[in-house]
Amino acid sequence: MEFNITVNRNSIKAVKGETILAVLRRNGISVPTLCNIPELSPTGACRICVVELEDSGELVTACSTPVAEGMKIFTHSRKVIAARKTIVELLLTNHQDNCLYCEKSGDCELQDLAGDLNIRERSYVGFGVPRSPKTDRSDPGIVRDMSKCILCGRCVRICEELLGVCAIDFVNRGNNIAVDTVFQKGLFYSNCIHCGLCITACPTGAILEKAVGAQVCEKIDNKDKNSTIILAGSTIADLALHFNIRKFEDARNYLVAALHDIGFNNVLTLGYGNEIFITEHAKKLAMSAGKQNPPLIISDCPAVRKFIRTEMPDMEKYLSKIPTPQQIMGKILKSGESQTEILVSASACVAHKYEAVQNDNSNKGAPDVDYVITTRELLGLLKTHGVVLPYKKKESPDKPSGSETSAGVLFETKGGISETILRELFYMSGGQKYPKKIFEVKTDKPFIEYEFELNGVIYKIASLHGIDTLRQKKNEIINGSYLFVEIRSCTAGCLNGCGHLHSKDPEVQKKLKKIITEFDETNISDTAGKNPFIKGFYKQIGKESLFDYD
Amino acid sequence: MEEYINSLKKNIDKRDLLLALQDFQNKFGYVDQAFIEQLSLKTGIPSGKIYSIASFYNQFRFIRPGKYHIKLCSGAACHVNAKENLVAELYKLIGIKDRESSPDGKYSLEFIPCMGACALGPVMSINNNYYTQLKIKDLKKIIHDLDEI
Ligand code: SF4
Ligand code: SF4
Ligand code: FES
Ligand code: FES
Repeated sequence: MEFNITVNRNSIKAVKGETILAVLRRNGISVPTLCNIPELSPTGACRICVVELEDSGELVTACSTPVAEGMKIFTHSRKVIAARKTIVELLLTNHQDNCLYCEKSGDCELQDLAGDLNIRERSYVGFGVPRSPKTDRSDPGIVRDMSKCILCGRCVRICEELLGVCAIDFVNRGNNIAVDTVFQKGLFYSNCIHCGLCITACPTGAILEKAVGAQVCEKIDNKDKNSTIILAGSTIADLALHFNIRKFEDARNYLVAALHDIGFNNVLTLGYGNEIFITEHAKKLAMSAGKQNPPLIISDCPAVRKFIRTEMPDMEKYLSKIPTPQQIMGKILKSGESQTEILVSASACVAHKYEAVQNDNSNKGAPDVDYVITTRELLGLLKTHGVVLPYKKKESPDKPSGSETSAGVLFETKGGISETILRELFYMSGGQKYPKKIFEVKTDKPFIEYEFELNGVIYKIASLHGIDTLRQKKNEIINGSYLFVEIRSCTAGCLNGCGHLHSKDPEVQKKLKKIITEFDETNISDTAGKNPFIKGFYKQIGKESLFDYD
Repeated sequence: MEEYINSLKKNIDKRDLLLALQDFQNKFGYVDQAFIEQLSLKTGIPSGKIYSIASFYNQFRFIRPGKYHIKLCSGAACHVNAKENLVAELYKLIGIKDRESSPDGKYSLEFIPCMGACALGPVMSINNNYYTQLKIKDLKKIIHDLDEI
């Protein structure tokens, strides 16, 4: 049922059942929120979104109050503004004043709110003691500084409602309430899958990636050590968008030149690791074609791998054991002819930090990948060195990733694992023209199937995104007679990994996808096997595959 | 304890969560992490959630109680009666804070919201002995005597 409500004396349309906030947002009227997460149910915990009802003068929360016919509201009356101001002042009561040194500064919702509401001094003096001074550094990739927590509960709900993992939750109550893990032992000792979603959920600087930029700088300044950095495709695309560079390959080549100048001996792209990952799986599937039941589960996502290991142990036997592209590159670059001594991986993924310190990803105790930095940290590194794109020159990535194919980049998008492996299967079987954009029409779905014919046999594959979907579809995957199933934890593949630059643009993923799709469309080298270095690599190791399959 | 945990039935109804926690605490004096992990498997509730629920209630303890379990009142009346100084002194004497137990298992400490004897504050109990209008010098002596044992 549709009716009108009055907002700030203007009449606008509303539909029964909607919240006030939804109607306001649709009409471009902004009201601040803190605890609200658009996709999830409202909790009404923070009260910052209050609006005034004209008739009664009552303040109600916009995020959790449904609209009613004839409702008259003010979104920015004196009374509303005063209430919001008091709420923020109260939040600041036990918040530290050290914004200058906080990594989230400039990007913090609490800071923005205090600014917007024109709060210029501490109103409640004497309570400046942080509520809970505890900082959880147990995790290799995530730091939780609880003195900055405002208890909005966003991280808790993301982890519980969106993932069903529930690694963090409110513990204790009243004055002692805090967000913490089971037995307050720290993330590393909980069932956290290190996905980093809570970082993107937190409005303040309470949850952040463990930053290693300073250590990286220190290492590359040591000229006795040969240093290498690997750039993920989604990181390059993200920086292209940030600096307004239209073409993927331009942004990549500017970055390569800039990073050489900053001091890295070699700058490579993750595309090469992706290509080996694709090739290894295509070969494995070609060998077992038709006999793959239950399907091979293919995931380059450390969060999915950890989730399956800890929460679905019965599925672990179907999970491909081939290491993730980042670790494949680590293994190659830290052995054989390569001179690399310090290896840094720049990625859009926070879970890769966790992945790099796993036992099987090291050689005699020395990690294959020494440091993992997020796209945010890489941008910080560029800024520190005064680099902006376009850079003064372009250079191609060093060998062996010199001529990455577009498959090596497309791989990181949603459905990319399936699409690029499929291309390679067709390419290997000779001649047959491969299908492209296989999921194009349904990319917004979390579970997509695709059927194709190769050498007269019909196969089915599926692509799944999101941990909650994985939980729901578990049986379907096992019994669905798929050749393989691609699984990632982030809903748009690595393109919305949790290490990306924070962006308020709702279209950001589409734009990133476009940069990569255009790169793919204009590239004739579009499947892993077309990279001469990949062929050369297998010749050099004198084997059909790098990893034993079973 | 291991035996008890292993003998849990295969599926436990979500609604029986609190009963299960209480039963365990009655037997062992506290709620152990291993038990919460098992309970999580048997009820399907994530362990973080169970801990969150249990820690909401004052009745549950998560540390193995020491030989001498000290309860210190942290209610309003006792608080204004210099509870903080006592806490600091206690920390000096046995080196533990709220909800901790000493490594040798001798002491454990827990703050209690109000022990119902406000007029006589600050109030403390050790096992079942109650101490009222507690002064720092009394506290020193009490702990000293226990240390001797
Ligand atoms: S990293 Fe992911 S699984 Fe871990 S606490 Fe954060 S949201 Fe939950
Ligand atoms: S850690 Fe951040 S997201 Fe979580 S409750 Fe605190 S302020 Fe909110
Ligand atoms: S956003 Fe509405 S109460 Fe927090
Ligand atoms: S406040 Fe201590 S007994 Fe009531």
